Amino acid sequence: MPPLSIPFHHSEPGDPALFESMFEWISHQMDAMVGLGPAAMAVLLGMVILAIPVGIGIAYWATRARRRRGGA
Amino acid sequence: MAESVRRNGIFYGWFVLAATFFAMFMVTGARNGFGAFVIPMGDELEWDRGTISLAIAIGWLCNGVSQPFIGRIYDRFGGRTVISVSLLVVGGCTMVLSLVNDISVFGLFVMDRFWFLVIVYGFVISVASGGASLVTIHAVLARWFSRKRGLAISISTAGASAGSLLLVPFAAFMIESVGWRTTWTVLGMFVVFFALPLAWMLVRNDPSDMGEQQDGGPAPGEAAGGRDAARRGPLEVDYWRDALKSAPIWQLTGAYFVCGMTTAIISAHYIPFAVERDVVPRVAAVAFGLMSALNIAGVLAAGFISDKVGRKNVLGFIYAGRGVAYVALLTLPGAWGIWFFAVVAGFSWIASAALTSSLTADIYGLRTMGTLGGTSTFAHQIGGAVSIYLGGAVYDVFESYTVPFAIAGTLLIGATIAAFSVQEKKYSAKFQQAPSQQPLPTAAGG
Repeated sequence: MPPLSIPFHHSEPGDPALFESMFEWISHQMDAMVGLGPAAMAVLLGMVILAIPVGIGIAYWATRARRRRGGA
Repeated sequence: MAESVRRNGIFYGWFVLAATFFAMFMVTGARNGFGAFVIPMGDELEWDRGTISLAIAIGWLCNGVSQPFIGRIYDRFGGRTVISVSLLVVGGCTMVLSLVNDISVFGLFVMDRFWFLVIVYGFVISVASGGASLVTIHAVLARWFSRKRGLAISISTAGASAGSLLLVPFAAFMIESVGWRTTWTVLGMFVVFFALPLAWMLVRNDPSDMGEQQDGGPAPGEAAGGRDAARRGPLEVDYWRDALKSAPIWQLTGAYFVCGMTTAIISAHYIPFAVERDVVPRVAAVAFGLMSALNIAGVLAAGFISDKVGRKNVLGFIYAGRGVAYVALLTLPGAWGIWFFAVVAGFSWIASAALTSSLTADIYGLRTMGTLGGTSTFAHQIGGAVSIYLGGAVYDVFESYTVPFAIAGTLLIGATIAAFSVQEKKYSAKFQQAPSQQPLPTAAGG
């Protein structure tokens, strides 16, 4: 499929070659800076990601509870 | 749960924004994370790079084509339902991706593993992700925010970039640790067990659902009727096709088409261009990563500024800046052009999306914003597909990226003029003083 091979080689959501090169660089830099293995880095990043919804939920419940205590 | 927390001082719209930020974070991040799976999946399932890219491209096309329809569904059913269903389907099917293999369908025939990937990722996930995309989330936020509409929409848009920045390396480390199948399962679980409950719990279609008003109420010195006027666009129509009879939708969509062309061609051909200029691929990849990070700063700054000074001029400067970046890319020697482009274009990359949505809501109101946003996004995606194809085809003719990149850069002149020429003061609710006498839109979400 020569006409399609051009658009289909690299397209969204990401350029595979670009990602591959970037991952290697990110992985290398993080290993050098933090000194953690991939499993520890995955856990660390996973905790950072999950902190977002947990933080939003806590903020909502805290605000709601504060309003209730205020006797609204 | 349906109680407002506004009386304690926090406008509920900020919680809607937070929930949609995380929805955008997870959906876009998980889709962009596919790049991390290309090599391990290819190795195990014996697929070459082109085969997996084909599945990705099919997904990209399905996502683009479905946007106007998703927007129409949003206008009919409202954001809470559409975003929640989208998250459920995307999360569930992301987990299903861990099962990619040849499978027997009811004992009748064996589905090839490639078609498994195409159906689950290329079609179902890609279409469903449109329900928690810029189109629907911008439309929801436009209902909650008017004075800070640009900032709110920009923050949600930044969620997409932040998701890519965190989820892509997360997926890469996970794959290295536990393999790609478990990683798909974990990503899907994040969507189903965190993004979905948060969206269902916090997203509401309209401030009135929580007993609130847009922005939390009128600004000091603003008449209550001014709120109603801000909810309508001066060019608001009952049916979305009627909007096509006015100039701004063509100016915004035309410029957004060029936006798609000038971003997609770079995402596809940036590294080959860098190699052509004797820059090593890894340096170009790092520059591209920097550009992604600057997206966040750029979109937030653009949203904040546009709330203060109006949107069309900021949008015009963004397209002009990207044009300058293209000129530098083609004229500066070696890596200088690569880095200059990364910095300057990085600030403009997704800011145009937030401003286009904000301006569409300001001009055409909220009633048909889902469909109009979906139509603009469809044009953007078509522009991207055309530019990716023509970029490669023109390269094959001239054996250089100079011509396709010069064409893309030149088109930005048109986009800049189109943006600057929008008569914002005449058509935008942001600049309207007198409240309209028309009734408010009553559709669930728009």
